[in-house]
Amino acid sequence: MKEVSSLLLMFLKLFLARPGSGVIIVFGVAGLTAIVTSLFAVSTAFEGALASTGQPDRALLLRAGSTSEINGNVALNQYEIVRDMAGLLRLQDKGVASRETYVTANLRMKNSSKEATLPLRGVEAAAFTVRPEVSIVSGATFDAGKYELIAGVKAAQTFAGLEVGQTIRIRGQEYLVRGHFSAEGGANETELWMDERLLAATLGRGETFSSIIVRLESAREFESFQAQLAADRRLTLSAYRESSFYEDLAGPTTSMIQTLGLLVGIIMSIGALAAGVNSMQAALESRTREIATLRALGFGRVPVLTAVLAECAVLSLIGAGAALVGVFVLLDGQTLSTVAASTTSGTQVAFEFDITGESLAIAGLTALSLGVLGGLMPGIAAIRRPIPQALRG
Amino acid sequence: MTTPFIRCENITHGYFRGGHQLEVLSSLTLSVESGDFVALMGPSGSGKSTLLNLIAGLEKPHAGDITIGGIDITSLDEQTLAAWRAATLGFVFQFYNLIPVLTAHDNVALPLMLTPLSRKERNQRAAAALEIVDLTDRAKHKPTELSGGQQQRVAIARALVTDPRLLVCDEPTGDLDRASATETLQLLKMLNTDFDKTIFMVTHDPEAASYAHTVWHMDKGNLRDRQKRAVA
Repeated sequence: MKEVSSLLLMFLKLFLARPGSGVIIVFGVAGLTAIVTSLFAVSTAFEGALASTGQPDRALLLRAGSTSEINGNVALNQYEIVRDMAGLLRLQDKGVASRETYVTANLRMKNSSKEATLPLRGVEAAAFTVRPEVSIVSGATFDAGKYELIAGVKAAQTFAGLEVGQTIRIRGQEYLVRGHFSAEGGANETELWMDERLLAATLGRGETFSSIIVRLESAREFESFQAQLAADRRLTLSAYRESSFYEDLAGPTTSMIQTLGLLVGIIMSIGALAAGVNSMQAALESRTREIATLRALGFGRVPVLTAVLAECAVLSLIGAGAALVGVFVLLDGQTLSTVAASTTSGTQVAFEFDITGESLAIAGLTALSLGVLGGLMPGIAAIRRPIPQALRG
Repeated sequence: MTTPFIRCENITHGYFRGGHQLEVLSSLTLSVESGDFVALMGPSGSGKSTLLNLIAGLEKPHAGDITIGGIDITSLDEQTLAAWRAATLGFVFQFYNLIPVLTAHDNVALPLMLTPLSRKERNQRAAAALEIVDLTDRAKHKPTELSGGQQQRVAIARALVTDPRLLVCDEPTGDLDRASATETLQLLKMLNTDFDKTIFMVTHDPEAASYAHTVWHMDKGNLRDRQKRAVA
């Protein structure tokens, strides 16, 4: 151990004295770590944002055959029937349910000339009872019957013109931004909310709306509620447990980000590995005589190789550490947004970039493995070289 | 009759070059007594360095046995041979081969890393070795801050710090001016006489060879003649 640690210290000093192409291993691993950590943090955060939106004791009711709120076209009378059904949480003898109209709006993103799409959700007062996690964090809520809206905090961070008190034009209509709301990190924070009946009227939807969100007495009530819904011939609705609905929604985008992360990670790993092998080869070439001298003095092959690998590991961890600090300082807590693909309307979902312990561990282990692998072949070549030949340099 | 300290018996060795086996040493036999100071001379390509590498355990002969201090080093595996070198040999190279990022003291202490000595004991030994070569005041200097002669003295201190019985010197004055070469040779002579080190030195320099008790001449892989000198 003393032998290896003294060699490692010496090799690190030699590296500092002649960094040469050896720094490539640090930069290669740093680049790889930064990109892979960022991609995995994005997927984790995206999944988390959608997953935290769905609650198991809430159900989303859509027109039968419809798979998303944007395609919903539910008649008003269905709402009254649903509110009287058993299994719903009741307040003042009425089931807690929110009738909602869901469309999209295009707004310009902050610090960009580009427009992106976000959900514009028409809700009634019950929406706050159905979703107790939603609360006004600045300003006030909209007044029913007025062209006013409230913006989710992430929508306000991502899109321009959503400051409280500002007026913004959406679909040809001016709206006053009355307040901002939070939803404990859920996807609703990327939405705009306004009065449901006013939105339906503005859109010319008449006596229809997009979906109903109901709050059940408990998560266990879902199956019986679903059966009740199917049995009632007056209703043409399908019920989805809200948590499952959002998990399904997150699935394709999360897998896409994870697949992309994996692909980029593999490609960059190959690149970083090749760079690592080359840079360590060059670094060890420049130390041919020193290594031969050490071996002539009696240092064994195994301790020399171990010290070379330990040096690679240290350099890789320095690269990974620098990258993680950079990523953490630049991105942790930043609000990012992405398009939720597949079954959704293709709207923007914003979420907070979150570097988890798991992604740190994955990045650290990847860097460590790459460093050690990168040093293995050059290290073996260095210790296999005949000492007399190597002593001549 | 005493057993020689170094005994090379029918050594044959060569290299594979340009698709052909080139024989460098051919059935060479050599004995060196303990405490001797041997100079091995000869033209380039005569096999001097090859013989030195074999005696130092840096290479293994294709045929023959080499026994040093009663140990047949040709039968040792790689790991045991490395440990044997650490315990038995001190190296002095033509170009000093000091580690550039280490101080003179740390260079000298380097072989002690292979011993069970404590840090304090290692420091004491390294300081004592530097004192023998009269470089105590340069202990904290790095090789680039020392002259060629001083660097070679640091290398000699490194060679003797483990108190080996044998010093193997490959052209130790080949890169030095005359004054530094004389200093180095006097130091080696002192180590031979005062510290009873057996010295095996390869050199082109007749002046260097004049410090040795035994001078062998080599040509085309064979030892041609031996001159014994009286101890000065």
